Amino acid sequence: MTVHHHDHVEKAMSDSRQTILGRLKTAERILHPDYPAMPPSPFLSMNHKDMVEILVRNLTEQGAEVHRAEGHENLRQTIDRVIADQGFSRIMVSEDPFMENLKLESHAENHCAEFIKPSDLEGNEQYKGTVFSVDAGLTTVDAAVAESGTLVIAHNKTQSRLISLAPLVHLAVVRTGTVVPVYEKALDLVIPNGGLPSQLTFITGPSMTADIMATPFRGMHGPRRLVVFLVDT
Amino acid sequence: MDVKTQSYVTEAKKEMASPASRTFLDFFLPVLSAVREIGMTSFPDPAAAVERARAIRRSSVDRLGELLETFERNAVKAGARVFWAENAHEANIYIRDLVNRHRIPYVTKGKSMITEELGLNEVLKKNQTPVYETDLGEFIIQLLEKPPFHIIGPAINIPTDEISRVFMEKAGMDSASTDPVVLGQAARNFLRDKFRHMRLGITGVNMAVAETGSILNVENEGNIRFNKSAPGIQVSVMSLEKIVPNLDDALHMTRMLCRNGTGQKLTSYVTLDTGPRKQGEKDGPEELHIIILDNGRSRIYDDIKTREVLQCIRCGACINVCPVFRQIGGYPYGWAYTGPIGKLLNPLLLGLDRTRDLYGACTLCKACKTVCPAGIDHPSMILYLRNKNLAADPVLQGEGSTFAERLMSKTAAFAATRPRTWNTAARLGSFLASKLGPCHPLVSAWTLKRTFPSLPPKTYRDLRKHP
Ligand code: SF4
Repeated sequence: MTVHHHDHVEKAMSDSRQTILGRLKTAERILHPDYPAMPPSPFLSMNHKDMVEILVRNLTEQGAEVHRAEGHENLRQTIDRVIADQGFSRIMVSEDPFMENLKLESHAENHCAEFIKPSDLEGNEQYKGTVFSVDAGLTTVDAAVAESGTLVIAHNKTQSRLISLAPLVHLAVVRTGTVVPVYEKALDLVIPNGGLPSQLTFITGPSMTADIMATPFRGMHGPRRLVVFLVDT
Repeated sequence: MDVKTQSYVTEAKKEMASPASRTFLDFFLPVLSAVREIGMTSFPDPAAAVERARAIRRSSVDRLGELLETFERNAVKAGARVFWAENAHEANIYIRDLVNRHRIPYVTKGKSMITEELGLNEVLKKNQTPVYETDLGEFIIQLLEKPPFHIIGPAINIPTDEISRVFMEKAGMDSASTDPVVLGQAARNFLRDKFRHMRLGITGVNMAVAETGSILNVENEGNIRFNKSAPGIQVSVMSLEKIVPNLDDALHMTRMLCRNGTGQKLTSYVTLDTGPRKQGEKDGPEELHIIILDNGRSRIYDDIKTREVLQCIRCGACINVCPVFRQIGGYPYGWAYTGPIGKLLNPLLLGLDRTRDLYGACTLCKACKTVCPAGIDHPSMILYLRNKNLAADPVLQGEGSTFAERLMSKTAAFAATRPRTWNTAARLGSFLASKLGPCHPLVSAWTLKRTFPSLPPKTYRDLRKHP
């Protein structure tokens, strides 16, 4: 019965596909002239230091908090300090090479926070239960875009989607070497061979809404706070 | 969703007298337009950026058929399942069957006008499948059973006490509040549990990238991200014109969409999905279904004049500047789309015969056309629709002219081809106009909606003869 029904759907669908495409392709064709040229973005000719400053300005304007650090050791300390100040006790972390290398858990004697990796958790239920209940999510960022203060994350095995979404606070590590002027350059950096990840996320400030009487409210569904650690490596 | 385009006039009168709607319309709409204008200045060269965007949309629509095929090929290669639906029914049945096959207890939805157009919630309700809208504005109007007021802020006009009441009744809020932040928090808590256990999420699509088979969504709240990250099955519905040729075009159009919609350089979240989750990934859907919906659009495409409407990216800019919308708000438009774009899309998708007041009530001021980043010439298409309606166009279901209109134009044609009749009538006309006034029942059908021009006592011919 189900199989039969399925066949029916498939058939209707191939008919619809043909009907739709048939109509679109037999309609009178007009071809408009090619795209007009655009002056090159001034961001492209900016030096790296200015670009980083613009990134920081955009991030701050959008309500992100920015902490700067120099090198791995200093970064660890800065993260530890923020975590201790906020009293976070459980944090889920991404498992990308940079984060693994940082070895936050081995320095855990400095504070009492627990760092949880998705791969520590068995199965979907445990993973979801945890990511929905931790105090914060800590991830590396694959590129940061100056033009709008945007953090780009390519999701894959080591960068799970919900870490930067489900907890109330997103702690994001930006390496100055990955700061780029415009989105197009972020793509060049993140997907050098054009192979797109299953999901690419652009994050610009915390989650927000203004749906009730146009009153802004942060942390509608995603993080209320976005804390950026900008590290010179 | 029910079609209520025929109660345009009654609804409009109601809205013009409603204090809640007035606050929003008189105050927020000008603010929204100003915010958009400031947003646009963050482009290095705003005019060039707009021209580029218009060219991208024109070219995408020019090559629609071929781009859709490319999109389908690449999306399937990435592991997505693509379903073509010729009408709302096919799309709804596909989703309903998916829900039943997988025994899905409830579905959640990200904001999408396209599912309003489908009337999907009604179909799932009949199937006894609860549907939770997850965009705050959509969530509110779903609980209140109201239509969307504005495409960007569907519930932006609803007073807080009304929201508080319905949240206490239906969304588990314990104590009343008129603080928007407390209300938002209550909705967050209620929906969080739904995200935690969801198995099927439905979203719309802001852009579909042919070159890569990816779909792109923009949002501020994070609900669309949840719908694309938490469930086992993701269904994304796109009307077929959402296509753009490649990633560079998608990025430019995203810059344009965000600035025009909310004045932001980029919304809080933009996600680009290419296929379902890959092996070893912890989250993201195992199945990604993309529904390409026609629902009358390929017919609109057939006419090179109406085809232009498919360039729209639903930014909402035209809505905020429209002097008619600023008086009446979104309800009178009676269906999924409002404002200038609603005056075109609703009639084209529903038929001219039951949407007459939509394309009728336009001052042709061109404010919409001026701001539109997609290059749509709304006023000229409105005139075209009026013409098609008078000509009883069979494809667009034009009504044809009324007896009175036909009599008027016949009489005018008769007089205009007979100089003596014309001159006598002209003198008589100017005399009558000065005596009767604009509200006389004989002419009120016309003069109530337009200012009657004052006629000079002497005709041009009289002046020539006796200067
Ligand atoms: S018609 Fe133009 S201005 Fe109006 S919503 Fe569509 S793209 Fe935006």
